[in-house]
Amino acid sequence: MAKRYDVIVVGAGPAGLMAARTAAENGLSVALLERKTDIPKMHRLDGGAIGINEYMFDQMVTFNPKAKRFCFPSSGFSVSYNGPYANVYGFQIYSPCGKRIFFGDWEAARERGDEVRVGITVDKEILLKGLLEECRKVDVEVFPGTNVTNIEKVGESVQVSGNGVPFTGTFVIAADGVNSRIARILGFNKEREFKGTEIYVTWVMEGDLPVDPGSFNFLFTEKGVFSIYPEYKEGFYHLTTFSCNTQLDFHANLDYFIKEDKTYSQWFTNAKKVGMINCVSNLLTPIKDPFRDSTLLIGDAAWIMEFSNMAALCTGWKAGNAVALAIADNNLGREGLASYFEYWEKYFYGPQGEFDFGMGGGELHDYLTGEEMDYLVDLVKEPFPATMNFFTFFSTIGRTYAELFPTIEKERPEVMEKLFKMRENMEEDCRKTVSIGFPNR
Amino acid sequence: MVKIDSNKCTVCGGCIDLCPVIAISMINDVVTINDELCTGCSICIKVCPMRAPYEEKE
Repeated sequence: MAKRYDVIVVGAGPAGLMAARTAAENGLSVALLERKTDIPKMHRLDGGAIGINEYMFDQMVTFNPKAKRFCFPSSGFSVSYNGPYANVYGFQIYSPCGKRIFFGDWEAARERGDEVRVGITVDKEILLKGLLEECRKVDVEVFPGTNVTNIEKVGESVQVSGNGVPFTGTFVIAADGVNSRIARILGFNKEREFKGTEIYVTWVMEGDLPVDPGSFNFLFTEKGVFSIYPEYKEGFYHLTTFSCNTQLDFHANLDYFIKEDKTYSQWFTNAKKVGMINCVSNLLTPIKDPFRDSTLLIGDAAWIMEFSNMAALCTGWKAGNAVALAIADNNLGREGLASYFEYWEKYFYGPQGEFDFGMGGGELHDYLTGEEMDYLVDLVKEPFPATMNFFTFFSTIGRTYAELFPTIEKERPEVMEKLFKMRENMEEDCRKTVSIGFPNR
Repeated sequence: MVKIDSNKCTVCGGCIDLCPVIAISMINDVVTINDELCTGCSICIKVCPMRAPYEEKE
């Protein structure tokens, strides 16, 4: 008779590795299934940074360089990181002609460095390697190169098919990412709203780009938004373009940006493209109740987009502990996992699960000219506090411009009219985005 | 029949995730289409940022 595990974890990213480690530390028998054969190897896009010294999802994260650990004092666990890193001091927004909005103080950064950092860029492969080693130390049975193609409840157990081989468990923890197959098979996606298929194309650039060290930058141009993120290795950057307009020629846009953009092409005269990383993300609204058929969805699998490494680690840790409690209490249904649902609701779904980030709506450059974007960016004179918290970043921008509407109306009524038009067209633009997406429900 | 040009593929997994019939898998970290399951819907061709999947002429 096939072995029955206490828990089967599907997906060995940070969420799954954390869940597997935590469950196994508690003495549970754990099978960890992952489709990659080389588990720590990163093929997909990753911002490659972890926010620290700031509350994100109401959780504080700190980094101890001596112990080489990321610590989560709000939750009470830590994770090893024994690799290179560089400081991150905040975000910057650039307009088409080079005007900027600062979310951080780069002068303070120059003088005080570590004290004012709000994140560190990491080598994610090293982070994953460390977690994988910790999993093996506590006897997690790891099955790399295993594609999970089915999941179903079989009596009191739940069975997962990995490369055609059945794996049976009391619980499954699904940590299979933002396009979770398990969410789809179990029917969660029919209850979620589909916003579009977001595509990210990144060119890894080697060279010296004239951005402030430790800045994560968003550049708005007449051809779309580009981001420039530093890697942990000095002299390497991720240049990314992203859109829900799946029909764009992303590489042509990147090529134009580095060769012909009137402001930014000069940045790249001594830089060269050394790699490409891509990502396809289906945007489905977060799952309020991520449990069904003895299966708990964690991390990106229950969210609308790639969350953050910290959210993955936190939900993985909590899920591993919740399953251990359920089994210790012999309470194998939904009630046994109550500690997870409380945590999920309190820190993640409650605060941001239903927040409308306006995904799928029109893009700025489809409505505004370059000069109009320059004008809008130039209106914001004062820097904002340093942050790597996307929610803070996003809501600060929203609030700031709402307060500026009377000024814009007075100085540039035609720009205000375009902003109104963009809002009016939101529903229609979202409909168009959905129609060119690939929902795969 | 749809095939994947492994020289173009960056193993982002988008096609694997979006294939409606779960015909695409990772085999030794190479993205591979199972001919027997593929229905030729061409979603993988449309979504791939690298234009790696292609229709193979018989």
